Amino acid sequence: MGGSTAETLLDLANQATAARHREWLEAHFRAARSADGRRSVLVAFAGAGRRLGSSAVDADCEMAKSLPVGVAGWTAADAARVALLLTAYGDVPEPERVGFVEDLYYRGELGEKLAVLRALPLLPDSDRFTPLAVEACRTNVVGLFEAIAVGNPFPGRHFDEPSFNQLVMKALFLGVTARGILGVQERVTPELLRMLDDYERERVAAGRAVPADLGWIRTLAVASTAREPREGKP
Amino acid sequence: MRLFDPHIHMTSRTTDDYQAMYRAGIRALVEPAFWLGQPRTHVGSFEDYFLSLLGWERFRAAQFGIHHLCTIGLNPKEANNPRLADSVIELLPRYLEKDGVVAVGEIGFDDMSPTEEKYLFAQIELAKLAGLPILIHTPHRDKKRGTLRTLDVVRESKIPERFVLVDHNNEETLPHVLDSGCWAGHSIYPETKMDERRMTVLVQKFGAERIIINSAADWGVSDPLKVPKTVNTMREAGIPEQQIKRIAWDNPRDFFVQSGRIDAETLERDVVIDQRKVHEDNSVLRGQQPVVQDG
Repeated sequence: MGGSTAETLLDLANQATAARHREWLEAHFRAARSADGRRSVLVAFAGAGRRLGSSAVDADCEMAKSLPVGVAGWTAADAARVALLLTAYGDVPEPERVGFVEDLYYRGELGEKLAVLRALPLLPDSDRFTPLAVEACRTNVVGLFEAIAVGNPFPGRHFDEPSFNQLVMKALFLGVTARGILGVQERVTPELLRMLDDYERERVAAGRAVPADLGWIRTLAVASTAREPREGKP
Repeated sequence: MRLFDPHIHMTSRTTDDYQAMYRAGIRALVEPAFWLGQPRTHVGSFEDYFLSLLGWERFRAAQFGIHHLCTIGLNPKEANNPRLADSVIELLPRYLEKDGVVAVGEIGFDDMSPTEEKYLFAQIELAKLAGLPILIHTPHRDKKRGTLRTLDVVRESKIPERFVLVDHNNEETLPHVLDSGCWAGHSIYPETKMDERRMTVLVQKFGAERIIINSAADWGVSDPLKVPKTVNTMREAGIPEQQIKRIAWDNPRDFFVQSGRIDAETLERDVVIDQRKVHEDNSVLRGQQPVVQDG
């Protein structure tokens, strides 16, 4: 499972990392496919960050564009970790798969958590990881929030309306651009608009700036459906 | 002058402290894993604490412009807990492999019990396997004897002395630690342990080689600005700037760079919360839509 996606990500990681690290990566990729794959992935996952570095993969090359998700902003370590996860996942017995992914996430430091969130839309039956993804949105670590909220198709596909709305509001709270939230165009609802209105009123009453993206989200609603003219809109 | 506090428990400090530390010139710190003031009762408490050092606390420090590194280990006090100690040791191979871990620590003696000695030896072995230096806590009670026994353990375990930082030194212990070839840390406290004035005298006597200072600030009466304050006291006493820089930046940097987990160049630069922003041209984080094939 994950065969060609994992292989492609491995190639992207190799291209973005120094030659001396490729051997380490190849060895751990082989180990991930072995009988002891699950255990060795836990350790490889931990060490991948400093081994492979923070150089960005080439998100614009043909190989990258063939992937089911965009990899803009992914580092070599991100790509390698996702590849390792996908490779080991297939050998994990079905009832243990959620636990395996949760282990990598909850027992991962920041870089590992980022990789798990990026891998979620690539996993089969990924809907069952919705609780983990919703939990990830509770973080105040901005980079972690961005890994699930920005450029990631998972929330748009799997979050229910309340969770998706909370994600949008959290983006505004953290100063994360709402324009990167995939699926937001299709998911602006009257309830979300109500939350935006209340938030705007709250900011104005406090004498604080209203995030520019708030107005942008409103324009999506106007563009996608015929609506009553709004009163008091700036 | 960039300052380094290589022993400070930020998990018990507020953002006021981070702001003050940054203003005073601190740009890097090491937060060692220790106890929380009372014994933990579940191995999960240790695990979540390790994760908080690696995650939330690192992020918090970055928000204030400070590089945050940590040590991971089973501390001397809680090594005495027979129900948990082995389970904590089992966690270490995975956690020592994680980003930003620059040493095994704090390890060492508290009461000088045989159990403490067993786990000190065990964790030195883990450090050797992981290629990491060690941060040693010397006891506050019966310190001289505890430090001498610690140096014996270091020698017996054959970990190279340059990989060993023996902390919380005083006038009695420092000469022995320097003679052994280990690095010597000093925790500068408001009322107890070492202070700026005595530290300055030690530097005048022994020089700057392998001398390290820290605040060891924690949840008790302590001061996260003791490194800059000690720098000032040394300066006022006429200690050459070159020596001061060596003590307050070069030495801690050189010691922890040995871990291979951080490089000197990165520490010289301002901390960046998200490294990828440095590399991206078409960052989605600047509001552009990524190319995604929905499928």
